[in-house]
Amino acid sequence: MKNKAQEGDSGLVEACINGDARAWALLVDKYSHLILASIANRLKSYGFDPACEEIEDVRQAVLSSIWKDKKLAGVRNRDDISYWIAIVSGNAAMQYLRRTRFGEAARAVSLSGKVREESLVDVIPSAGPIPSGELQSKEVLSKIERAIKSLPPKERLIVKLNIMYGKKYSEISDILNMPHGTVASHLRRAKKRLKKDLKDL
Amino acid sequence: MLNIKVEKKAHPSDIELADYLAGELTAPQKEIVEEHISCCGECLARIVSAYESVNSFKKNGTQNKRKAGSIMKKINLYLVFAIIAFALSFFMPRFFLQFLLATLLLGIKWIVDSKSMKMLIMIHEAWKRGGEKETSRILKTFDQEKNRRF
Repeated sequence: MKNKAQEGDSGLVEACINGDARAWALLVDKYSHLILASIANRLKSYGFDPACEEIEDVRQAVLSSIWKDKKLAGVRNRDDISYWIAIVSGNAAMQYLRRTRFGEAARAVSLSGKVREESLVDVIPSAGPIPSGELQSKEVLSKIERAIKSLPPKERLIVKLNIMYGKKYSEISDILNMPHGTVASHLRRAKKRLKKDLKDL
Repeated sequence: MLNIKVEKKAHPSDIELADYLAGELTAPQKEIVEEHISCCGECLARIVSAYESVNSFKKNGTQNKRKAGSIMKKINLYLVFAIIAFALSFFMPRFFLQFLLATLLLGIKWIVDSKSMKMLIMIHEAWKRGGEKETSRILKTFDQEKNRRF
């Protein structure tokens, strides 16, 4: 299941909210790697390979905005702010993407950039391996998108995590805070439905 | 539980998404977020990216602690064996010299491996090179390293 933060953050966070610069330095030190990793992860997930200086620029922007805009005051789960730090850093990365040279490409990202071919093998009935290039056809992709959209929300979410992000059962169970067995049965049901809907592919 | 309103159609806020990943939302709040992220590619990407980054960050933190722990164990073992060898040299006079040699070797290994000796060697060299200024620079570096670890 979820790992708790190494030590609770609430003391540091409270001190930062009260304007304690030393506490802020400690918090920055603790989470710098996470901020950098979150920025790089977000940019790479869209197929962009940023330079170190660009990642560092975004990191500085994140830290500056958290401190100047007193964003920590809005955080509710102060014992473990790691997820919040990762989300905020990822957002900053996306804003950077849109503002800079990657702007147009980022806006054009769609399902086609995300579907992992190997994950679709067990929902698209076919005698052998899917011929290369066929999955890129707009018609095939839009059929898959429509079929996924018709699933109930939980199944849709689990299928997307599995097919688009290649997440294993244990990871999906962790993200959704759902028992492993429930994830498995939702996924089985969803794949059965998709196989039926995509049988003429 | 926390009393928050999660609007069905609007994008969840950073705090809502973070609380969702941390398992801090109630069942109805969770359902609303899930219904949104099952349709919204952007928000799903935010969640997945954050999950991956935090997972890797926490795994690295545990690994570093384990590594540091095992190194400390190794260093202390040299000291322990050196003391045992020294004690045995008195209990087994026949092998007095051998145990004394073992004590010396284990002791040197412990001293050389431990940070304090490295610091002493660096200070000595710094003193030979640049006098007081260089020495205080070295001491500052060790201080910063100690604070960073804290």
